[in-house]
Amino acid sequence: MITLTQFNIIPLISLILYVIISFIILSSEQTKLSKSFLWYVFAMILWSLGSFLMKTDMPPSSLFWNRILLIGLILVPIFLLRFSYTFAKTRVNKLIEIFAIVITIVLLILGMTGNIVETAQYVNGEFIYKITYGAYIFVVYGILYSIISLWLLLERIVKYDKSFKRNGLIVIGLFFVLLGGASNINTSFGKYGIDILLNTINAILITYAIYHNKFLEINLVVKKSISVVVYHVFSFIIYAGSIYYAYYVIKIIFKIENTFSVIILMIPVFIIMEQIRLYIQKLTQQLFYSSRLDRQRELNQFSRLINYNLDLEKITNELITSTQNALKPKDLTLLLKNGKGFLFNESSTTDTTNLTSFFSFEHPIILWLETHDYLLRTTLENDIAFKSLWDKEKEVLKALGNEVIMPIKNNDELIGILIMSERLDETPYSYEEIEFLGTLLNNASAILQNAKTMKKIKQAVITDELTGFFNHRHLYDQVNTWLKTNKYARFSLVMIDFDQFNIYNDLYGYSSGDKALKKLAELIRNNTTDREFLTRFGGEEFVIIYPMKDGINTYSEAEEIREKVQEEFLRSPDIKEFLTVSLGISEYPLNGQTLDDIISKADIATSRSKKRGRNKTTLYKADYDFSDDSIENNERIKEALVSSTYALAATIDAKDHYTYGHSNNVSMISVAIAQKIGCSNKEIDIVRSAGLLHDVGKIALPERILKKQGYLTDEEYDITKKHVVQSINIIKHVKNLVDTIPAIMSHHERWDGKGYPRGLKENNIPILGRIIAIADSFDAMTTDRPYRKGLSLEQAIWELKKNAGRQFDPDLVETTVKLITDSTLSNLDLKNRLSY
Amino acid sequence: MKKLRDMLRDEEYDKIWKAYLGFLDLELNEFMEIQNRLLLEQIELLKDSKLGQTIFGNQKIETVSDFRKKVPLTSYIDYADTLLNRREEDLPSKPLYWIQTTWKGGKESIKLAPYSKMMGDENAKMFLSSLILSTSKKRGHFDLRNADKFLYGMAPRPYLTGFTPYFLEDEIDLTYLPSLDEAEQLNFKDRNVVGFKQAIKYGADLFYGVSSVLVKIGESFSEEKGSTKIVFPGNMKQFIKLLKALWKKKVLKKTLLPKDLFEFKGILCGGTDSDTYKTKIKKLFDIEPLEIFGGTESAGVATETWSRNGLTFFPDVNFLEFIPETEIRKEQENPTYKPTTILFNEIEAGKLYELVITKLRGGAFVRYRIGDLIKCIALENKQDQIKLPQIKYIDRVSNVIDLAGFTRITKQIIGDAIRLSKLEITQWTAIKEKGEENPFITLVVETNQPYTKHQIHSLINEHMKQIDKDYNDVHQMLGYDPLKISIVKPGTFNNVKRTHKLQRISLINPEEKIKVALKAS
Repeated sequence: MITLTQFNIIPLISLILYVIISFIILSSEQTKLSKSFLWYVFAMILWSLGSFLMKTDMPPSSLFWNRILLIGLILVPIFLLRFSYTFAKTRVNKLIEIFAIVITIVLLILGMTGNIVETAQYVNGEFIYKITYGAYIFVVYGILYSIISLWLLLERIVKYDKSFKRNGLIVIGLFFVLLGGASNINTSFGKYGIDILLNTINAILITYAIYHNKFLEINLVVKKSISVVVYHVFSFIIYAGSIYYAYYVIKIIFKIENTFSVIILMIPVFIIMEQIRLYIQKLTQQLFYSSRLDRQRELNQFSRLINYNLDLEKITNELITSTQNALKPKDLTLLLKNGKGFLFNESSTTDTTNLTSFFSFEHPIILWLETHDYLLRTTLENDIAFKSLWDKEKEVLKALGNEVIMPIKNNDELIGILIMSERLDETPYSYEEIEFLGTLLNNASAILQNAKTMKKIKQAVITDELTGFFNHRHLYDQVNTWLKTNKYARFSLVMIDFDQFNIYNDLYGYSSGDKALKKLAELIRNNTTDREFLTRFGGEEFVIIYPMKDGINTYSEAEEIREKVQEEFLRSPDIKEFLTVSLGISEYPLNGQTLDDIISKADIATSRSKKRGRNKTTLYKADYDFSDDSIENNERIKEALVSSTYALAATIDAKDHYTYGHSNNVSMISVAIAQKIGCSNKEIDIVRSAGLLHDVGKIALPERILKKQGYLTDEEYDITKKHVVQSINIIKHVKNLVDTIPAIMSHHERWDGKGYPRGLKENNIPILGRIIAIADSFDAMTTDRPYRKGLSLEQAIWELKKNAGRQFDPDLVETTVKLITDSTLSNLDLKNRLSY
Repeated sequence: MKKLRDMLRDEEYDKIWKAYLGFLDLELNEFMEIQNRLLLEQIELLKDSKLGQTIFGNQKIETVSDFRKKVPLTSYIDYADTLLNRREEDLPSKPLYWIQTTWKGGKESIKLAPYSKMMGDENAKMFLSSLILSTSKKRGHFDLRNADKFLYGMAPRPYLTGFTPYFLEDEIDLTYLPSLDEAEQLNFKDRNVVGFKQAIKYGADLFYGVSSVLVKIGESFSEEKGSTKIVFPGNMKQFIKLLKALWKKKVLKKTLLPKDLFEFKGILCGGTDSDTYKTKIKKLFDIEPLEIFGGTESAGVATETWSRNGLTFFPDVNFLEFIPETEIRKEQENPTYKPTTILFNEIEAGKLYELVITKLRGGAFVRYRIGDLIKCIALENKQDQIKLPQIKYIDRVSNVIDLAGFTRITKQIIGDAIRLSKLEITQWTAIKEKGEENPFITLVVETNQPYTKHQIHSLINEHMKQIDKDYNDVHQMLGYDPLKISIVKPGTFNNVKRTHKLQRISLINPEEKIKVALKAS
């Protein structure tokens, strides 16, 4: 029978532990490291098995079991060396390895022939053995190779890993092996199996280090099996020990043999044992599942916290905190999708202030995450999908510590990503942990999307959709709150208004108008800081509030905006961009105590800018001089308008006298038609100027085309067509004449839509443009040219009628015919009519 | 990032293949996406540098299309001032190495190319891709391992090939034959000789060198004098190999071939005319070399794959553009003509192109004409299942004659040699011929004097050897005479010009029909 004694209990415990370790390793991922460790464990099993059985009277004999022990013992150094090489990730030194093989073979021969242990006997419960010279060779060899193994590991720490924390346990374990080897030299120590005890400690430390630092991936099922085994082994040892000891005390010491008494006395023992069993169970759970339980707790807590919350900031903060608590990364960076791409979220633990829209929708990382569950750093570094990453991007990712990048998906749509750096203790993440993070993000995604939507809605309520500025209502809410709470002792309000915006809209349509408003908003945004409060006040009016700034200081800022608009719009080579802005500035509390006061003062200042000829900035003054707005002043402006019109018309005259005479005629005929159909005085003024200037762009035409007699070629005709555009290009710089642009721009449009430059049709053509079109054609038909005579009035009427509804507005043709027949037109002082 | 040495040690062969040769799985549109995205990065880097601003002028370059429309094609002369004066501050990225090459026909004797740390790393990665492929027999398979013995027979630093082992140091542990320190002390010829001696002693797993040299050295083994020397083997494997070789030679009385002495896992070769030598290398070494195509300014451009049936471009080293042959011709007829380029996804099988590169990752060269002609041989490699156009390196552009990857003969070199020979040669043109064994030059001359071919040959050959050291090396190292003389009757050149209505006949590689006409006369 096998009797447990103080000599064989250590090898037995070692044997059990080694079997458990081998079970763990066999069930884990099969890598080079696990394989090399398994060989070492195998040798240790042989050693502990031999050691245990030789210290019992198990047949065939103690000597036989001692030989088994020797095989394991002799194999330990070489397998330990191989494990160390693999773990240290250094190349095997062939010389050291060959020497180890040779010496192992020699020692095995010596061992089997009795040249290490001469005799081994189990006598009267005690194990007696005698060693010879071979044992000393083995001890020296064993210690030497343990030192080499230790050296390899220290080298790894110094050279690569640099973390004693991760590798320290393995180093300590090897140090125990070294001590154990040395203990064998003395047989009185050796018989207690000190070496095997220390080797067992080493194996436990290695196993723990591998498990804890995740050098190997151990799956959940295996963990469960291990925990069950560990729990039962420990329970068994404690049960057996307790019963044996209780039996010893009751029967041997107190010599009680009565069964009933024994049972009574054993009750407290069983009660204590049940408590101990529960404690072991708890301990095992903690040992194997503590991190998992923590994570589960974290997940539950997160779900609870976010369930009834729609505040995006709170949810993102909670998400980051929960991930940090559960997985302990150094850093977490969150990016959420918006209209432009994936933007860094402020909840991130990394400093993202200088990082703008880093991930566009087509970014390789985004494309990858759309179809994958995670992205590991190794994949990012090696996969062809990321070949096109910019160096700058790689640097940023490196700075963020991109150990794992996780998608946040809601209904298959990628709504965000989470970048997780390496762990605080530098241990790698397990797949189980990555799966957990996936679950956490999955839980968060729907609520995150809702919170985003809510934020968007809230934002939409206070934002102007077109420009992204705050709206009129929010301006009132916000500023009134400031006034109530005395947030700012002073602020300036700048009102910005597009000049001639209605003309622009009429001319180019509302979608172009919207584009211009967006462009203006962009210019304002680029010329202001985050401190300013930007509002689209309504229509083409914008309001900027400059907190803690007085009007005088704000003036220069407002002027900068005006100049920028002038540069981008008016001076742009694009003919469409004739827009300018007028600005007015008022100041709180200087110009009023309420927001309405301040706004109305800014409005007055803006109006004054417009009256001063537009494209101006005016600072509101209480003693505002209105004399400038007098009738006399208006007359002055009108005079300036007329003189600039004639000045321009004179430039045409300088180039081609005929064109000038023609323009004058068109102007007069157009005015006559406009009066006849009941146009307002303002419209009549505009059509007068427009008629005079409708061909001003011909200045830019080559002389050979301008003065060509006879038909134009297609190419020449195309060039001629451009004069309309050229006219606008010239006129847009004369701010008093901007009103004429729609009429001039459309005088070559046709009623049937076949005209140019825009192909407008029927009533979409501005009325003044339609008038000039008829006047222009009528004058051209009836004018004498050096190479041909003009048509008679009858012929002209016939031509006009023929083209009514095709080229011309039929109603206007009728009006014009009336004007011809009632001699209104004949009485005008028209030029180039020598034949009449 | 995990280095190749670590992945090899951990036997992560699949990961290695993915990391280094993943580009072979790309579809054409994916390849182009990488090209375009990296070009946009390069545009940004160029915009911030003085060199880039000079090349771009005042033009706004934002897109790939802007870049191709507005940026002119360049040659080394556009960079000479910045690069030869090593003006680092003007470059798109800070150079860590200045790599040198010869500038035949240039205003200086050398060209310098800046390499940043990133470019050095990328070059190492690209080279390793080829090295892995040289040991590969099928997709996913390769034999490259740490500690492989690498017979490295390329030019030393400051040439690119000399830097490569240093670029690789961080990536993989290879045993160089001769060692890098030893090689630094040796000239090109000696490092090959010493390397092969060490290879006989210790064995060798890999070879990288000029294919013509490999053939020459290989052939010397079959000669008597080359194999009589006694070499003591440095290890057991080589001992058995040498013993077998001795048996074959002495007992079986068979001719000894290099394959009896070496067992290369992979041979990498580069240089013009590699194609000519491939079959011979296979016969001598029992392994087909893998061709790699690159240059100092461009770094690695393309590599062959395991079937050795066409080169595949690397997607992330250079932005690739191609000048079609028709455009090249137009430019030849009218030197002021600005040829247009097409992109990688537009090249057609069977057509010839001149390669134009823009160095990515902060490189200096922009729409740069490296002077290499390639042919697109197929739009994919069905055998290797590569869905990218396959190319073949043809030659240098026709105004340069490259012989066996050794030398670049220009009209100046030949012109100078003729002047120095004081021969009364009225007109001449030099034509590169492929040759059955080795490539050579036929110098077609017209003279009124009764010179013999031998007279002309000896004088011109001698002067060319003096003027161009590399030309001399062709004689010395490869042991053959690459110059042949052809004398035509007085007036022939003018007749040909008249017949073909030409103003002049190109001094180097005239058009095919002119070559035929001159030879016929």
